[in-house]
Formats: sequence, C-alpha cells, structure tokens
Amino acid sequence: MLIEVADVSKAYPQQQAGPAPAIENISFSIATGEFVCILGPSGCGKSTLLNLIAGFIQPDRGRIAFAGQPVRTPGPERGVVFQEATLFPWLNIRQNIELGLKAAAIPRTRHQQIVADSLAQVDLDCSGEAYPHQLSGGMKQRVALARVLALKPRLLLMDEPFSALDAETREHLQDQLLQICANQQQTVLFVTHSVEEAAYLADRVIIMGQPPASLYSEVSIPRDQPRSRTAKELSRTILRLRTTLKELARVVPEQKRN
Amino acid sequence: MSTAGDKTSSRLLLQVPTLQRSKPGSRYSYRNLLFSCAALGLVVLSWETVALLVTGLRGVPFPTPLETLLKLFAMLAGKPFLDHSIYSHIGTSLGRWIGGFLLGGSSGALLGMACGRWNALERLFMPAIHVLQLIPGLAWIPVAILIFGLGNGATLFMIAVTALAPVAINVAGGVKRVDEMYIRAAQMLGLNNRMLFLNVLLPGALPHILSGLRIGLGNSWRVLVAAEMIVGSGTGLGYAIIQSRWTLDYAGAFVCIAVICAIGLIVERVLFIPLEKRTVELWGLKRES
Repeated sequence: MLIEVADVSKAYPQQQAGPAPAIENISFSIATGEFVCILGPSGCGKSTLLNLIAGFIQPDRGRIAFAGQPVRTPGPERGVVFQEATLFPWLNIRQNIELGLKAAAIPRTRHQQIVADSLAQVDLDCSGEAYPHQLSGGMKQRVALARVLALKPRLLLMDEPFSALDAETREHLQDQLLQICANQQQTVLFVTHSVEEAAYLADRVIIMGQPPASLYSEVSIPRDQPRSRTAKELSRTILRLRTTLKELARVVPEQKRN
Repeated sequence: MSTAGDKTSSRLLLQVPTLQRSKPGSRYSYRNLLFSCAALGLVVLSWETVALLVTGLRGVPFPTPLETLLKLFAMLAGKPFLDHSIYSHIGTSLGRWIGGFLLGGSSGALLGMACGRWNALERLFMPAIHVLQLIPGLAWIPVAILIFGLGNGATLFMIAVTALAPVAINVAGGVKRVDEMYIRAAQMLGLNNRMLFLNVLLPGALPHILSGLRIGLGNSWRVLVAAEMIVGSGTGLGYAIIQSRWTLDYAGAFVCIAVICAIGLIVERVLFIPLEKRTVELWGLKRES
C-alpha cells in the first residue's frame, strides 16, 4: 500500500459558527496506481484529511504512513495541487516549475527539457516567460499541475483543484488528468464535493458524512468500460453515490440530537 | 459530448491571453504633463506671493524664486558657499545619508525578516522597535552627542536609528502577511528554509519591504538635515542652511532647501518607481492605494 491511514482523528478549536471540520477514527489505504476520490459536503473535513496526508498538519491521534514511512513533513514525493493554483506571482511559469527542480538539486542542464515535458503533459504550449497573473484560471491550474508533475511525485494530492473553474474548462482538465494517469500509472487522491466529478474520475470513492466524520463509506467503481460522460454506467454510479451521501447525512443529525 | 483526450476543443482554451500592459496614450501623457506644470506653477506662485508680501510688509529680503534660481546657477557654476562648493555640501550629506541608511536599513531589514518569521523573536524585539519609532528623530541629539561626541559618528547614528524602526516594522509585517498557502506550496515542492526565505518570503514581502525602505529613507533624510544643523562638522546641506542665520545669505539657504527636495524626488523617481515597475507591478502584486 502506498498510503495507509489508520484510526486518524483531527479536530480544530471551534472558531466560527457552523460545524468545525473534524474527522474521527478514519482508516483507509490507497494502492499504487489507484485513483481515489474523497467526496463529501463542505466542512466535512475532507480537505483536513488531504492536508494530513500532505504533511501540512499532524493528526491528534492515529497513524499515516507513506510507502511504509510515517508522514511528518510535506515533501515532493507527495505533490499537491491546491484549489487556488498558488503559483508564485514573482516567478514566471518556467521559474515556477524550475523552483522544485532546484530544490531537488536536479542539474540545470536538464531543467529546460523537464519544463517543456511537463508543460506538454498538461497540454499547455504557451511561453514559459508569462507571469501567473497574465493567465486564465484554467491555465494557472494546468501550470500548478505541471509544476508538481515535473517532480514525478509518487502520490498526487488534489484539493478540489477544478472547483473554481467554469464547467467547460473543468471537463477538459478532468479528461487531461485521466489521460496523464493512464499514461504513467499515477496514483491520485482527489478531494471533491461534486458527485459527478467523483463518479467520472475515481476508481474508488470514499464518502464522508457531516462532522465529526467518523462515518464514512467506500464505493468502488469498476473501470473496465471506456469512460464517457454519457454512459449509462456513469449515471448509475452517480445515483449510488448520492444515495450513500444522503444516508450518511441522515444518520448524523439523529446522533447529535441525543 | 467530450471524452478523454478531446484535443481539438481543448486547444481553444490555450490562446495565451494578451498581456495587459497599458500603453500610455499620447492624450493621457499630455494631460499628465499639463497637470505637473500646473502643480509646479502653483508652488512658484505661492512662493513669489509670500516673498513679495514679506519683503513689502516686514522690509526683510525674502528670496524670490528667480533670485534663488540665479543663486543656484551661480553655485552650480562653482561659487563657494561657506568655504565649500555646493557639490561638496551635497556630497557630504549624501555620503552620510547613504552610510547611515545602509547601516540602519539593513539591520532593520534583517531584524524585520527574523521577527516576521519567528514569533518568539517578534515578541522579544518588536515592542522595543515600536517604542523606537515613537521617538522623534531630533530627540536623539543628546543621546548621539553623549555616545559619539560632536561629529560624523553622531550624525550617522541618528540617521541609522531613525531608519531602522520603520524598515523593521514594515518588513516584519510583510513577511507575516505572505500567504500561508505559498509557504505550504514551497514546502510541498521540497524547498529548504534558505530557499523558502530567498524565493518565497523575500519576494512575497517585497511590496511591504519597499514601503518600509521608502519611509526609512524619508525619515533619515529629514533627520540628516536636522542633525547637520546641530552636530554636523562644517559641511553638509543642513549645516549650510543653519549657517545662513549668521551670514544672512538666505538665497543660498533656499538653494540648499530646493536641492534637498530635488534629491528626495530623484531618489523616488530613479530608485523606487523603476524598482516597483520591475518587480511588484510586473508580478501583478501592486496594491490598490
């Protein structure tokens, strides 16, 4: 198993009204080459889970292991694409991608080739000399993906990366992501609140309920048929996911009343 | 009906947006020029009015703009003023200013960076720095004289100490305000602390660093002139201005005041505006002011 999450809990001190994103006793694992989606309503703690695996925060209880080693700090073997592209505004596209290469002490002579390759992977053939604020939202997100892919991460963590984009751009990026995964057996953990997105992308969906999300359930999606947005199988999967989400949402308020 | 790998329509998204750089239209810059001239004219006109009024009502020779301009030309042509040429006065003042500012500004920047990054240091140093900022530049005169005696050391000290606080405060604020997400992204990419500092915190804080340097430079320039009036040693623009009390060469003093303003403006135009154009504006980080 590439990632193993065992009995992990994390709570934040309550700051605003509404449910605090907290998770309780969550366990799951991800095998190499799998595409796993975490699906749940906003505030259910799915981003918290991703931040824990990325190493940005530490769990209150439980263990997270990456390739057998406990996760303590963020690192390039677990590349993250955030909801906002978080490209460094003071670096142009090429420099944004090269920064990780420099940190990994990859020889300068290879930078140009790697930058070109990773931009080609996300199907972006624009000048690397443009600055992030000159790009559209979709292009920024492509560069953010290219920046991570350049480091050949063993695990790709994506935190609602396409949710701020318009529908058309989002669908193109979803297709491109699937193609990248198919080409190089990329393992992905993808957080989303969109049932359609999870059904279209994932091999397996982990569905989280309202916080504290000690309740969660897993749905596997057989992937032998070709992926298509119009296939009957897709609408069937969407229906299954919706039903599970509703069940989880129903259970928790009753518990809270007691 | 898009399926994975729908290349043709995906190309449509890839048109690089045109770079948004506003070219100053000729009409726009023409109006700008007009306003600049009008603003300058207003200053000259009020000066002329005051000069005529004072000369007429009090009977003392208040230098007019024209007299000052003529005196400026004479001094630029090499006429000595208080035993030194105007160039020597300017040179001494600039030297003291740059030296003192390099000392105070760089230690302020380093202190600010450290305080912005590490909470413990901030709590340790920042209260003192905030107090430092409350002390008017001239209040340092007795302290400077006690430590260094009359002379260059005291002037340098006063410049450095007034530049330090605003630079440190702004730099610390800038480093703290660098978006946490950028720091996370940098750590995820594998940057070590040194790279994080140089590639993320420093450029991310640059808008604030620049405004800190601006305030620091302005503060130290003002205190330099004042310090030269009291603890200066026979040269410098401030010294020249204060000496006109005894020599009654008011036009010469006015020339020095004008030169001080001009140097301030030149630093802004030659140093800060191009620096901002090349960094903060290029990155799309310019703050709405």
